[in-house]
Amino acid sequence: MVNLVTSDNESFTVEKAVASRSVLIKNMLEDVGESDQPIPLPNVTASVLKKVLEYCDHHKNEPMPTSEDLAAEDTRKRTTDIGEWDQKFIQVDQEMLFEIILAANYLDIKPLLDVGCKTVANMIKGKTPEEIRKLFNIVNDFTPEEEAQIKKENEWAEDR
Amino acid sequence: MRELPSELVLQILGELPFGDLARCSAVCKLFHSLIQSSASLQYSSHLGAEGYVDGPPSEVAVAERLARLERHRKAWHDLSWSRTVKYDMPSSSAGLYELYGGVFARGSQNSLDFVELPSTIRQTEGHSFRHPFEFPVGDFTMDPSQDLLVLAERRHRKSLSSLDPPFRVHIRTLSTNLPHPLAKVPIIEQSVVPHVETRYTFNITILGGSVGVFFRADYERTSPPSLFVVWEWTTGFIRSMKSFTQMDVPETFSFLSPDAFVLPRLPQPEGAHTTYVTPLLEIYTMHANGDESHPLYPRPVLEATFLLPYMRGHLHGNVPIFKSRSDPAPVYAPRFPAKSQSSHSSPSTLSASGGPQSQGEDGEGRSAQRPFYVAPENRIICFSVTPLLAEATVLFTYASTLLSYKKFLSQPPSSSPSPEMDMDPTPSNIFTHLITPLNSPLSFLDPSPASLDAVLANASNSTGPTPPTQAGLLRIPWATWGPPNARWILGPINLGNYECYVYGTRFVHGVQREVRPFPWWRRVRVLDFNPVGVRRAQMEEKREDDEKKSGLEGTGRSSRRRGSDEMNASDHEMGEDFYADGIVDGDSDLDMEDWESESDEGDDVMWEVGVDDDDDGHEGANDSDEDPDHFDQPVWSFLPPDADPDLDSAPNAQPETECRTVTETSVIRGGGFFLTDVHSSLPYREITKQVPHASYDFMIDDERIICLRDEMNAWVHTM
Repeated sequence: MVNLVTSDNESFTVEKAVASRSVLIKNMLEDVGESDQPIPLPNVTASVLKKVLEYCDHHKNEPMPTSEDLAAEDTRKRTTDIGEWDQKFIQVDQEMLFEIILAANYLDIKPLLDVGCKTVANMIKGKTPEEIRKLFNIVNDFTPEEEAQIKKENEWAEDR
Repeated sequence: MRELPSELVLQILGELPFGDLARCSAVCKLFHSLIQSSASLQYSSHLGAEGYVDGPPSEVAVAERLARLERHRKAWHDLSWSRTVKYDMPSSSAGLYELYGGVFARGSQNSLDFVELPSTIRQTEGHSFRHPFEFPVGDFTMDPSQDLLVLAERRHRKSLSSLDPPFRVHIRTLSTNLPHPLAKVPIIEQSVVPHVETRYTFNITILGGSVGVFFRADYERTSPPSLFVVWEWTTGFIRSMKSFTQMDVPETFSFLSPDAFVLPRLPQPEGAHTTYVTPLLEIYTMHANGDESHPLYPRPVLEATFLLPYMRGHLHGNVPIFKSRSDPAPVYAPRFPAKSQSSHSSPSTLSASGGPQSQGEDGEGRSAQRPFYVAPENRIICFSVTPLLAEATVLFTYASTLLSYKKFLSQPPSSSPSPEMDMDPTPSNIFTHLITPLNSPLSFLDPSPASLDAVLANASNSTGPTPPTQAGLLRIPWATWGPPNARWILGPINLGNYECYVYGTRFVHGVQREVRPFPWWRRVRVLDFNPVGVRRAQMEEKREDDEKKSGLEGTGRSSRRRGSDEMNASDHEMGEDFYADGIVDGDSDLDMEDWESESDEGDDVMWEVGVDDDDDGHEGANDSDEDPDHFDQPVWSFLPPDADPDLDSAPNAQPETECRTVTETSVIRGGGFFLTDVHSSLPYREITKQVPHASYDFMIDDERIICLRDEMNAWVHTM
């Protein structure tokens, strides 16, 4: 069992197989060797870690992605599908979604990061710039001239 | 989302197709600058716009791929090819040819000459080799990315009394001409059971791990069966088999997806005086897990039949030829060198080809992968109708349109048939209408093409008062699918003898005929149906038009939008201009001058080989003063590049090039080729360019146009 301590000082005790889905923790465990020392995770809050561990627990028996898989990923041949369980898992509010992405990035859990990014991308698909701004609360910092120019540049890419 | 670090925003944006990416760059400055500055996002965006996909991993980095893609796009945009190489082809009676995966092969039944053409996107030089065969080759095809050569053996009956032996299909490697190591059964045998010796033609297509062979019996009184078989070439198992009898044999087949193909059918007119028929596009799927009712010979399933407009079925008793063509195969994914490929310097290669070869051997290898290629779903398929001794009328549509038959089957025609016609769709009724003289008004019919099509659809599938068969229910009238998703180009379009006139979304043909013993074309025209490219070009044209709005309206060619029926007239006009200007091929001085003036612009680099540099002086059908030794020379004279051609220099404006986009609906009036008015509106872009030498045939692939000057000389223009 592994003891993890969050930024808000909550500790979680989980199986090694679960914690090792995180390449960061896996490497730490390998470096430290057998030890009861709690592992501090200063970038993750308890509520997020709870969610992330739920993901790790569900996927604990799957083979870790090999370096070959990661290389194949670099050729942009990723599958765009998200598994059924993952889809349900990732149905969270936007704030939590971004927290999960950040945590997955920090903890180095590539499949979870992918699920998160794809989910955000799916939210963007088919939306107008204005709808995207509204969705993510982004301020339009273009001048009207700049905006018109960019719109003109991209006109050909509009498929409707 | 802005609170995420840039690398994560980039990863999210990287999941988006190019249309969404473009919208994202209009969201805020951060997104805009991230997208603009990321080579990988720019690359995927440009790939999407071109309808291409990324190639296999290689040493070529994303930024370099992007640069090559941009050069490639710009070259196709106005046919500003960057290299021209001339090949002397073997002049023996070469009946066989193929252009696939960047390899051009030509030869006779005894041997084939292959040349891997130089590539700018792969940055490779080509090389040539020859394979001799110990049996008569009926036809062949190849897939360099699988190092695969498929040959159909022409069969010979041993004695008059013996039965016809089975056909044999040989699965070999392209590099060595030896049995392919991945093929469990390197020679597949197939019996067709005619009792008489008949000439068969072969039509072979490789579809990844499958190969489709159409054994087509020539028309004869005692029509023997024709057979279409799809094998898994690695195992020899039959995936699908369909036989045809009598005159009901399609000319061609085309794969639409790994599991579907289309057969173009031209039904026989049902009565002696029936002039018009409805050509059919039958969509079949192959079983994924075998056909339980016919485990050994799985039958393909007819999923839907797309109907074309009623057209003239025969002229003076001659049935037109109805063909389909689409390239590359829907699962083509280039890989160099192929997985199982051994060295090109195999004994058979060396012994056969004495000429300069393997120029770019050190350029081969990992870095020589194709960096990008046409996405399997982004392909047009063309259907040509060619009356005897005439030129073709061509229909273009996307393979994906034909694959979405389910959508059309659940959709009624855009306007409903008039009730009284619907009530009585008996053939007799219809055919009395159809024998109406061509020029008489058809006003007694509902003028709406939709309703007529629907009625004709009913008529042609109901055999008497019986309810429609299941096949009848699967019919999709032209009005339901055609007008928005297809484009008819009313001929004459010369499709030539070399039927490699389509690749991805591009189609090539010659225009501006010269007076010759046989047709020669002074200009080459490419039709590009890539939807995004059309939109992009249209926007650019609009912008240019806006900029020079004032003035220039009197220029003769300003009519950007002309109906297809005007096309001939204006081409003819153009021809006259050419004669007037004295730029008539045959005068070598003028011709070369013309050529050089183009070279001076710095975007064409040319090497010439062969003995007859001055071949412009004598031409036509009889190049008989050719050195007879030439015939024994190595097959391909291949030219190494000398100085580094300045590929990077931006193409200059080429006065000999004309572009236009066609987005409006074209109407072909009824009463001539078609029974009623035919509307079609699939947008395309048309680029026409003068070729350095008049050519009698053109071929196209993903990065080149090949102009065949005669049976001896080919000019390969690489983009």
